Amino acid sequence: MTRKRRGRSQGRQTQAPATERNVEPGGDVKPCAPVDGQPVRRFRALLAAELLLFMCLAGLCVVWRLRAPAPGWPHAGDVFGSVLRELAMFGLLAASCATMFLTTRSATSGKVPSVRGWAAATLLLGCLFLGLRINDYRVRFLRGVFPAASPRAIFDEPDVYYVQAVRFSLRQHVKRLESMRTQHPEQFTSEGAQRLDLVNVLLRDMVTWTEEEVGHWLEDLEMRIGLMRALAYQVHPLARDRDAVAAIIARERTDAAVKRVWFTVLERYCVTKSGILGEITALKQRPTTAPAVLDGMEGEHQVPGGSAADGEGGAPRSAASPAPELAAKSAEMSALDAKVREELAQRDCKRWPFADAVIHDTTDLAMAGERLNQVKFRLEAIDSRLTFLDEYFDPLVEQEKPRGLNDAHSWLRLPVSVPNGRTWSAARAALTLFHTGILLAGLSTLAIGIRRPLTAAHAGFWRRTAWHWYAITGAGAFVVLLLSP
Amino acid sequence: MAAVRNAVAFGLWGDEAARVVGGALLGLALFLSAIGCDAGPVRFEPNWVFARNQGLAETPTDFEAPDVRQKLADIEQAVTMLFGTPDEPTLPACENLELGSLLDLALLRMAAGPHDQMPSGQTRGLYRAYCIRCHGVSGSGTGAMARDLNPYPRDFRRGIFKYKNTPDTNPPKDGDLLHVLERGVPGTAMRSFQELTGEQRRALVQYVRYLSVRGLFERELIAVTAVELAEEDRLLDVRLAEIDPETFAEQRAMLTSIAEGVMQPWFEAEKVTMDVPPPPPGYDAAEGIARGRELYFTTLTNCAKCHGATALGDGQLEEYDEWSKELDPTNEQALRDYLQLGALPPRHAQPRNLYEAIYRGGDRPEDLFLKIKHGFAGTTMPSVASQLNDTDAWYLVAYARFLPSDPIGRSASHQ
Repeated sequence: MTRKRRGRSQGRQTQAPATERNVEPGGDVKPCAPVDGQPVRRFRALLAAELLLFMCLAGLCVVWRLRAPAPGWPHAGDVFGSVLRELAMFGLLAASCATMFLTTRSATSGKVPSVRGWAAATLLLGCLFLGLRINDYRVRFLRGVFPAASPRAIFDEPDVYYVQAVRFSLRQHVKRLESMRTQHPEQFTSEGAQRLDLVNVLLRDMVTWTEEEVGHWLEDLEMRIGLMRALAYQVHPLARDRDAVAAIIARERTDAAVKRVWFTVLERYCVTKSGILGEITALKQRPTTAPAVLDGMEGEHQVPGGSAADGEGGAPRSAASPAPELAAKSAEMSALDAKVREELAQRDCKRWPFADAVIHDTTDLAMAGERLNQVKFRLEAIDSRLTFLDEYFDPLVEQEKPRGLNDAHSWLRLPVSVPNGRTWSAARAALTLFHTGILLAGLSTLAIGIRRPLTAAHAGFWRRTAWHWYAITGAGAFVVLLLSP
Repeated sequence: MAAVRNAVAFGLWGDEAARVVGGALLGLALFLSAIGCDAGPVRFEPNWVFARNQGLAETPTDFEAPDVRQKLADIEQAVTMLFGTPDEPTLPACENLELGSLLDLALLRMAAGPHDQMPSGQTRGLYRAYCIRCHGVSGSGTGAMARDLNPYPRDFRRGIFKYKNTPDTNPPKDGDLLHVLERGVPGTAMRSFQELTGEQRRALVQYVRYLSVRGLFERELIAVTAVELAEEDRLLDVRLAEIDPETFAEQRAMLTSIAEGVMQPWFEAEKVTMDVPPPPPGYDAAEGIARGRELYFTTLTNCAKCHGATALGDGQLEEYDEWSKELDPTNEQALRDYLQLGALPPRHAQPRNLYEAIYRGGDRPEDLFLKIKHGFAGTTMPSVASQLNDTDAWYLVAYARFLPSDPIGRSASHQ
């Protein structure tokens, strides 16, 4: 109580300059009462305001976190955070608390050199903390994790919009590298060529593959979402997704093997059917004396092209009618359709819209060609994808601490997908920026205090600075807590 | 009153500097009152962009050359002679066309002119009240607000309209324009004008038609002047009206015939019908949607090429629509010239994100059918009427209508 009353009374007084009158021979000061700096009441108000604001921000973070779905709050490493680094930073703050305490004690007992020494140590520790914090921001900013993170840099979920953002990002790389290759070939080194190769592989076997699977080839919603999740994992692995993604890719491999067989069946079918269609077209172009029969055939079997009579335009007609051959070819076509359906059914493919479409559309020669091309492209894509998985995905799941594409190739800087990543990023930015602000204020006060004349009369100033410093450290503890899962 | 008192005090009894400033302001106010501060009568802006496009002038500075100025003045006079001014629209005296069925002069006058009351008590100047800020005086789509809008407002002068029930680049029917006015265009700044009376909406539709026909006529004259007219010939010389009435009549007859040629397709558009066949039974069931999806990925329709494999509207983002193509956007020098002449910076055509279910041309299945089958005039969405049968078109409609409910497209994280 005595100290408190004295504090109040000191608060109303102004600074007593350290003159020769109150300095005893030998450097020590007389035990007198005057203090410098802010009046105590105002200091308390300032401290309370700082803490209140900090608690509001902290409360907001807690509310956000509690409202996030159960597994939806990012882990420390998910958004380039590190518990170790934060603990080290907190350790610095805790150590600076000790030095600050010693500063206060020295100031009270009037040991000027000691005050300067401990205050300088506190300043140094605080600066180290600040340096680490700046580095922390630098790492995040390099990855596009800003306080108000761009929606194109962090996605809350790996959806089609995320995959699109990855594609746009890769396209930008391709554009930049291609432009360098054509316009400044002397600057385009082998490293540039490797980068271009990598980006093209990622575009083809990771992004385009995923988009085509999701948009066209897959029926199963779980698998569609899973593939996008796997893509996000490859870019920026989240530890919690590891097993799920490994399971998805294992299933993808199995499905790819099955679909490879299906596509092979369809490829053979398309080639055979195109051949028959070609023969039918040739037969239809052969002059005939029996156009009515042909027309009938066309209606019955959907033989492509115009009627023979139309095609001839009054040309002389041969006596031999191709109608029987056409009928045979049509029957052959029908048999082929039935056979392919049966073969696909035997291979666990009873209902596949693409197969239906191929069988439906290959009554036309042009469409048969197109479907054949689709099948061939898909077969190539499957092979390419499987190679990609072997080369890029398997090492990723095998690593103890997986390094995603952004870690392995820091120049890529692809968008990342982190559940609640943007909220987390904003909350953390608000807290740490505020904390850094009050830390800077504390450091400035220390820097000013060291340069001023030091006497026992300044003990009040150092005590208040110390309280401010302890508050900073307390707030720092919450910043560390925020990183815990 | 206090403000006025202060102002007077400031002018009359303040210090020397205040007195000078106050006096200057008072003088300026008196001067403006004397001469009037409006910008004169509203006039249609000439289509210099198209004039540059047609080679009438090579660069913006060429527009100052006497011969080019003469040609442009002739064009402007010719257009004004036949189609009047923004305050007093007129119609050409076409002998071969029944213009009354295309453009109603009484309604045009209701939409034209300044926004005020006519002696009859009717409101006039509807276009200037509701449309001019975006579409501009001449319907060029470069109104005061146009630059900030995405998409840009329509340039009526090309006669190309996207939301209509006529095939290809045929002009729209009366009902199509009325439909757009009543419904607006979702996803754009074009709002619904349901609050206007039926007659007012019809008047605006008539005025849009008028601007379109006038714009096409102007373009035609520019093309004729640039390509067909000999250097020494003139499109129209009004002095001949007195000194050589016969030649003047010939010039006028030629202009009228050009106007008739321009208006002819508008008459024919009214006769065109685009029937929508009934959808096949169960077209929107799972099988129909699956069939639609397979068609979406073929070169028969080429949907995936522009709308993308995941239908986000990101397949191609480098193309331009017809309005932008006219600005030769890949030619930097030409583009600079066009921008200097008042064109808006071209933007890439943006295919629709099919998950968003914002269908500018209408969201009924019939609307989608027509758009899929016949495309959008002036855009990169082509007509597939010759390649796609009606049944398959309906399956594509089913797939397009299914996409917004596809769970993978319902993410909120991109918002």
